Parts: sequence; C-alpha cells; structure tokens
Amino acid sequence: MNKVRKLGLSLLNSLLPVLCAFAIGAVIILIIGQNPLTTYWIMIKNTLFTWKGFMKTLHYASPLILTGLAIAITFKANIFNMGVEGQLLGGAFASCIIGFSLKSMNPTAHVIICLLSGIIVGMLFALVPAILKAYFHVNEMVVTLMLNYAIAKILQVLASTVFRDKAAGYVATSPIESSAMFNRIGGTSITLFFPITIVVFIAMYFVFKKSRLGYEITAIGRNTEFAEASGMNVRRKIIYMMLISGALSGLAGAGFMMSEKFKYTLDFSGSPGLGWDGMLIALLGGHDPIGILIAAVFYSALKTGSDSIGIFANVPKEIVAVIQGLMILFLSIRFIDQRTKVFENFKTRFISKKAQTEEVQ
Amino acid sequence: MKKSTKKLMALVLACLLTVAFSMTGCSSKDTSSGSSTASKEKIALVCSAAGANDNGYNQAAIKGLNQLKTEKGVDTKVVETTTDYPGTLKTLADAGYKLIYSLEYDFTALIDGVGGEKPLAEQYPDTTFVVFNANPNLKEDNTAKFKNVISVMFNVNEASFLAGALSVKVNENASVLFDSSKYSLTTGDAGRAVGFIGGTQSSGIEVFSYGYAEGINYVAKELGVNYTYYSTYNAGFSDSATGGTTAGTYYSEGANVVYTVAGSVGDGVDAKAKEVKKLSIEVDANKDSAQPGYILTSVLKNTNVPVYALGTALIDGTLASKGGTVINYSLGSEATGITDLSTIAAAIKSDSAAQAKWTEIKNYITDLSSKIGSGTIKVTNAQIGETLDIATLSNVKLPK
Repeated sequence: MNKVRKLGLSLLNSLLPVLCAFAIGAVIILIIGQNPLTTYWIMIKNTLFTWKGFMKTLHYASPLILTGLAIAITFKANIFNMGVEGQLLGGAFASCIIGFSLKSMNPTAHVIICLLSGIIVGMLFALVPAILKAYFHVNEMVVTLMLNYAIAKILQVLASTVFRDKAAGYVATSPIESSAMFNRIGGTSITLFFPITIVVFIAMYFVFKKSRLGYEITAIGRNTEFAEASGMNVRRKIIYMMLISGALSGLAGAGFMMSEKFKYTLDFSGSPGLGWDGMLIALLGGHDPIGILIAAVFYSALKTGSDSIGIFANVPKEIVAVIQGLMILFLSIRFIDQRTKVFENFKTRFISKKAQTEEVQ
Repeated sequence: MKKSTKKLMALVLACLLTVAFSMTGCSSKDTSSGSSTASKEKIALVCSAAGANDNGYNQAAIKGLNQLKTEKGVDTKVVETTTDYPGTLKTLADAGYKLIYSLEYDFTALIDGVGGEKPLAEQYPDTTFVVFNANPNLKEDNTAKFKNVISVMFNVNEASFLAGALSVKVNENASVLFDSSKYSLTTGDAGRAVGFIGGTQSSGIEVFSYGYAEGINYVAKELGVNYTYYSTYNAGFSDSATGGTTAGTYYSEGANVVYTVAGSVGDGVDAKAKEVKKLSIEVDANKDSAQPGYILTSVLKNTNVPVYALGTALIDGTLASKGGTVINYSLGSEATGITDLSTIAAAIKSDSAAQAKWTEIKNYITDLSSKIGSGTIKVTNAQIGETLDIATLSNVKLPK
C-alpha cells in the first residue's frame, strides 16, 4: 500500500508540472484567439496517433533516451555530469570525421567503427572531469559545465577550417559516406539507431535496477561517506559512472549524426541542445529508466509536434517552447518539494483525507 | 468550511471546462469553412534559422508571399521549422503545395537525398522547389539535375561594389559633406580605413566582402590613395554585443565606415556608429532609418521580388519553363542594389558646396551602376565560385 502511494506520488510529481504547463499554454492559445484543444490535438495526433508520425517521434526520442540516461546515472549518485552536451558533440564530430574520411567501406563495419569512435570520444571527454573529481577533488559540476563550451568552440574551429566543406554556403563538414548512414526503414523516419537505443536502454535498466553498480550508485547518492565507510571504492565508482555517462552521450551524438544530420553544423544539436534536453528528461523521469523512456518519447513528441503546429495550426510554433519553459519552471517547484517537504505535507494530507472519505463512503 | 471551498472550486472548474468545450464547437466550425476553398493554388515558404521576424531575408520573402495572397488570392503558408527540415518539405508537398520556397541553406536532402532516401526533388516531381543564394541543382556536367528546382541568386557583389565606392567617396569628402559638430570622423591618412564584419566564413558572405573591397579599390585607385581593409568572418548572426565591440575596435583604429553582413549583429554596429559618431553600412533590407544619419546605406537583397515573380508565374502557368534554371537578379532589377540614400541625405550640410558635392557623388554612383550593368566593370562573384585575386587590389591593404 505504501509502495503504491509512493509510486502515485512520484507519478503526480512528474505529471503535475506537465499538466500545469499545458494548462497555462492553453490560456495563451486562447488569448491568441485559437482553440487550445484543437491545437493540442493536432500536435498529439501527428506525433503519436499516425504511424509515420509515431515513428518520427521515436526516431527523435532515440538520442534523448540516451542523454537522459547519461544524466540520470550520475545525478542519481549526486555526481553532476553537466557535460553531456559537450560529450555528445565530441562523439558526433568523431563519428562524422570517420564517416566521411573512410571511403568505400563495408557498411556494417563502417557503422560499427563510427559508433565506437563516438563512444570512445564521449568517454574521453568524461574521463577528464572524472579523474579530477575522484583524485583531486575538483568540483565536477564546474569542470564538466565549462568543458562544454571549450569543446563546442574547438569543434567550431575544426569545422570551419580543417574539415570545412568548401562547397557549402555555411559552416559544415562534408556529409558522411552513405556506407556510414543508418537507412530509413519502411518509408518512415525511423532507422536502426532506435533498436540500438532500446538494446542499450534494456542494458542500462539492468545496471540501474539489478546490478551491484546500480545499488552502489544509489548508496553513494544517499550518503557518500557512509558508502565509503561500508567499503565501497567511491573513487573508482565515480570514474565508472562518468565513463558510462560519457559513452551514452557519445553514442547519442554518433547515432544522431548517422541517422539524422549526416554532417556537423554549428547548430548540430539544436537549441537548447540534446544534452540539455536530456537533463530535463532525466528530471521529468525522476532519474528512473522507465520514467526516462516515457519522458523522452513525450518530449520528442513535443519537439516534432511543434513542427506540426507550425504547418497545420494558426498558432506560432513558439507555443511549444513556452510549454517547455513552463515545464522546467514547474519541475523546479517539485525540487522545493523534495527538500522542504512543504508541498509533500500538503499532498499527503490531501490524499490521506481523500482516502478517509473514500473509506467512509 | 474547507470542504465548501473545495466544492466551490470544483464548480468553477466544471464551468470553465463547459465554456472551453462549447468554444471548441464554434472554432471547429470556423476551420471547416476555411478549408472548404481548397481549389486555390497553394504556395508555402520555409524560413531559415533566423526566423520570420529577422528584419530582412525571411521577413522580406514573407512580404512577397503576403502580396501574392492579397493580390492573387492564393493559399499561402509560412513555416518555421525546428527539428525536421526535410520532413517539413515532405509534409508540405504531401499537403498539395505546388510551389515551395526554401530559405534554408541546407540542400542535401532536397538534391542528394539522405538516409538511403531518394532526393526530395525526385520524390515530388509535381512540386517546384525554390532555393536561394546558391545553385546546388547541378550534375557533374553543369546541367540542371532536377526540372522542378529553381535557384535564385542576387548579385549582391555588385551592390556591395557600389557601397564600397560610396564609402570612399563620402570618406574623402567628409569635411565638405558633414557638420563637424555632429560627426567625429578620423581625417587624413589615418581615416583611410574601412571595416567588414561577416557572420561566417562562407562564399555567401565573401560575395559581399569581395565586392565591397573591389569597390573601395576602384575609387581609391582613381584618387591615388590607399585604404586599409579590416575584416572578420566569424561574428555569428545573433549577438549584437559582439558587433558593437568589433566595430568599436575598427572605429578606434581609424576606420570611418564599417560594413556588416551578419544578421542582427549589425544592430550593435549601428548603435556603435552613432555612439562614436561614425558611419555603418547595413544589409538585406533598407535599414537606413534604424540610426538615421549614421547608416550610410543598406545593401539590399529584396527576397520579396523573386517570391512574388515566381508565384505569379505559377498562377500564369509559366513556371514550368523556368524549371531547373538559375535566376540571377542583378543591379536594377529592384531585387538588389543600394538604397536611394534619402535618409543619409538629410544629414548632409545644407550649404551649396556640400549639396553640389553630394549630387556629384550620387551621379558618380549612378554612373558606376550603369557601367556594371553594361559589363564595363566586372565584379567578382564569390557565390558562383569565383575567387578574388588579392593582387588586383592594388590600393587596399589587408592587415593580418
């Protein structure tokens, strides 16, 4: 019973910000003079209830699932890898360079090499702050956060000088060879990258829920000193977590490159960027793998849905950005809830009262 | 007490919901009546990343589209994409849009096809796609790859040439033209410098810079003077503060005119020009009146002209003959050129010497324009792959 209530509460925690954001979004759409229900229906119908649309949603959810997991695995241990964005870009760039410089390769081999190079580069970029944190007590949040900008700028220089495609009218590398591209399946947007993501997701589910490492991560997150005192090698665990996080980010970047973008441009990751999106998704999913999966698909539906709104409704597509912003705002209210318990108290009172009245009836 | 408030809230919520649902009924009727007139020609426009309200490239194109809508009664749609640009083109083509303007710079999906798909131009042979600023629609032997793709180019190199010539002419005669209390232009050899700020290193930006440098060189050679040409190509397109800082450096180095081709970075440059009482040159739309008196001119790229012309061609049924071609808009086509200078003219001193000089300069520019039109003066066009031979710029110094 207690477990059910706990689950209900955490569900409520994730759903409330979303509902509030949509409610306020609806008010804004009403003010514009459009119907919020039709607008939302256009968005939902084209992203979840048509075959092509749903495949597209899953396609764009793939990198988000990975970055969400990358964030969750460290955040759960109270280690803050804010560098997912940079690690993703690094991985994407590496796979791009391998993708266009190796010519006439066997497609299977080429794809595997590209993905591996992305993963390795992602891990390398995560290793630096991990070692600094584990052995020199340098604040990993600062290092990873700042490293994002360093990586982005280095890649900007590389993309606009050494690896620049001279024929393009803007800063872009050459497109990757077709042997390194994931082909679209059955006339939809989806590629082999999505099944790969799901395999990784299942593996990560076991790491989170069933493995010793998953347990240790939770323990370190609860109380680092206690974890250390009870015989865990916290330093090594920090490095493991960061490496897994970096690998996931690198894979996300490489996969997005090979299934969607095919070349590195300065707006490769979009705005706010897949890594930052991953942070929101991890929060929304409560740092839980299943939660992250749902949140990533939902968030991807919002993203692709904004294009549908732009085409089929008379509402500016910015409404989706407004909703996303509101969601972040309301999610931070939930943060207050966890620390101060003000809202939790209110909710438990509310819910227990409701339970009482139900019992009476 | 508490229970009653809760009941009240529930009642209010229920009322709100009823209202919302009843409104659903009204507006869904509206939309159905709107979509019943589906027999009209449908034209769509996909914005570039700069967005619909960029005061230039996109906004002008939308202006052309709206003109089509009001004058020709066609169905129009403006789309700003965020995630899936090729998907948007597909959706529009599927929805029956026969003419799609794409202001984006990425042509890979349209011309070459990505992810094992056929090129979009091949998938939708009945839809005409119009792309701008480049001609990606080429086979190896330089013939058109697809009959349903039209490339539109603006000879902004020629307009930039005029802007360069104007810069030197105005700079050399600044003491005659301008009230010295309102401007603090650097005089003498130290003031023989100009700046160029570009958004990114690409042929689409170089086309402006090369033309501008050649225009400066042309007049400087005629007058027997030397100019320093400061330039940067990585200002981006959004950060106006960067524009202010970079332009500030150029102005303090002695430059009296700074030309910016970098989207809203130019706003910062214009503000800086006013602050240090010098001159700037704008791009895309006529922005002369943004900082009146401190913007010398704007190099125009009126995307509304081709949008309107091609839309009209679709309605007249003459669009097919233009398929696969490159449409070049040169000086005098109203699609490119420099402004009529009326805003800066208001800042010229009113005495007869200044007015006479100003008329002389304007006539000189008109004369140059016709020389370019007749081919007497050839301006390098970087957007079709021409490169500028620095050695030909005998009177322009490029500092490292």
